[in-house]
Amino acid sequence: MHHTLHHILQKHLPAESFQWLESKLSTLNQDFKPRSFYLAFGACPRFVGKDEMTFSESALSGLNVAYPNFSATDWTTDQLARILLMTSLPTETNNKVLDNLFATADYRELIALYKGLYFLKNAADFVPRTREGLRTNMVGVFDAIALENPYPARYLSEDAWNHMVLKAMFMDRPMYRIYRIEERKNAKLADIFLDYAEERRSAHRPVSPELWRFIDGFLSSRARAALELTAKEGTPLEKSAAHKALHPNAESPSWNEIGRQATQPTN
Amino acid sequence: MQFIDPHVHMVSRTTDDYEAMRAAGVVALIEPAFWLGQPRTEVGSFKDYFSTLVGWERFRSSQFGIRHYCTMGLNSKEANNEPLAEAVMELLPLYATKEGVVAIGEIGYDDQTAAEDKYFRLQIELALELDLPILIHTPHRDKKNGTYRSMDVLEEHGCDPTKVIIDHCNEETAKEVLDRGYWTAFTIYPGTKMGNERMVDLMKHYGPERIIVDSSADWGISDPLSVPKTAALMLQRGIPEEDVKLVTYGNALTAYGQSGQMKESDWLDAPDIDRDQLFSGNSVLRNGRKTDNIIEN
Repeated sequence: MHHTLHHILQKHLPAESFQWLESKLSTLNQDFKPRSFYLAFGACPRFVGKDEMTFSESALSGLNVAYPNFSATDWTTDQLARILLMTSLPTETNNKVLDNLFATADYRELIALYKGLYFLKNAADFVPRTREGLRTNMVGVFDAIALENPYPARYLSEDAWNHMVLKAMFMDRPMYRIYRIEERKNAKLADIFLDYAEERRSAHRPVSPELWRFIDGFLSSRARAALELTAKEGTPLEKSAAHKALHPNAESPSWNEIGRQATQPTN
Repeated sequence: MQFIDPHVHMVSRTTDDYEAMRAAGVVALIEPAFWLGQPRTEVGSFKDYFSTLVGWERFRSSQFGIRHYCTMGLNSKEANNEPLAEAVMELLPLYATKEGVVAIGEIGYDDQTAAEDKYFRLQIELALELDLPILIHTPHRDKKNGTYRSMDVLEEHGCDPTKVIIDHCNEETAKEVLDRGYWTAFTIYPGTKMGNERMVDLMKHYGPERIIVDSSADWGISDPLSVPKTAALMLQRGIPEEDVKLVTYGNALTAYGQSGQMKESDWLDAPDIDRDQLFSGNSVLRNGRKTDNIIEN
């Protein structure tokens, strides 16, 4: 069981809700049955609510140590309660028990499951599950894995990482919200995105200004040509992004700022 | 006007249907677990179907601004494959407690066999254990006896009729179902079962109390706009708007809201979430609404 999470929930939940959670945890500890785990996991919203949580500075710093970037997303009471239940499973069997739950989970459960994986002691064992999860077409589930979650940056191989980043671009996700997006840029990914930009240009269709972030730092002559075209013909934001990639030392908005502007809702 | 279609099998419907339903004012729907037109042969098919109801279909519906709920159960036809039925009974507790599951159903009788009776009763007990409403499918053949027998069995198990919805009622069964205190639901099917003209006559006769209108649209010839169309006809024939609202919205909400899994605020307070999802660029909408971007799978 994750003690920081346990402590935080104890502080946040009304006594009655916390008692419910405690009783489920002690039943699981005394006589573990997958069925009791599944029922408790499923029932969390009903007994601990779905309230968005706010944390004190000191609580946040503790949580950010256990889970880098914790403070970047919203967490609800049922999410953290579900994650606490996940962390109470013995690591020898948690893969099997959770596999079954992943296969039968509803939308909200999937989000909690994927956000919670990083908290597990054997989180590294869940790479195949994460890769399977990234095949989803449910945006909320994809986001739970890809955005702000420290799991992919730490555990995914370069190929798996690149697949995730590409899919995020195809789904119009805000790329700057992928944790460690900058550090895990690579030449192969730059090449794929350049192919993509050229393909879109041939089809007379736009690409996100965020795409050029992945070319920044990998300036082949082909990349230069594409960037120069964009710097000449693009929208103001595309021009700004292309300029930034072409002239890394010039003063320009950060990639995160470009990302924020690119993904602002247009009405 | 806003509508709830409390019985519609969206896995069989197209995105055109979702768009038309939303345009006609459907804000929430309930998708009862059902059979697929041919019998399943493996329990895994049930598992994936149940997962679809609480996962992908719920998401797909949200893309069109419609809140999706479902019921979980083993339908009466497939209860006749006993080894399979046993395995499905093992699965059900896992799904019955999921968020947005508003009842056990649709359960009841098809041919009224011994196996159907066995699994009907087991599922009544499951609903009682989980304190969930029950949705009853009444049979097409030998309807009157099948309907009365369903109520007898429910009463034998001590069910509270105010927590049970008896569906596919008609002129012949309505009175008894109402008299015994149950929610009385009518499926408006083009051609068979109930037409909307007949529904108007029923409303004039019985009034709006405990009456629910649904489409039961599925993979057969059926109309996912049955509920709004029937409402329009009722208004045209002079039935008061508040009565129309009860049978096409309020009663379903009260009946299934007893699960604790369905609240009006779910859709009234969450339009922004849906709109955001609607335009977020994904494989259901293929982004055609807003940009020229196409997502290929």
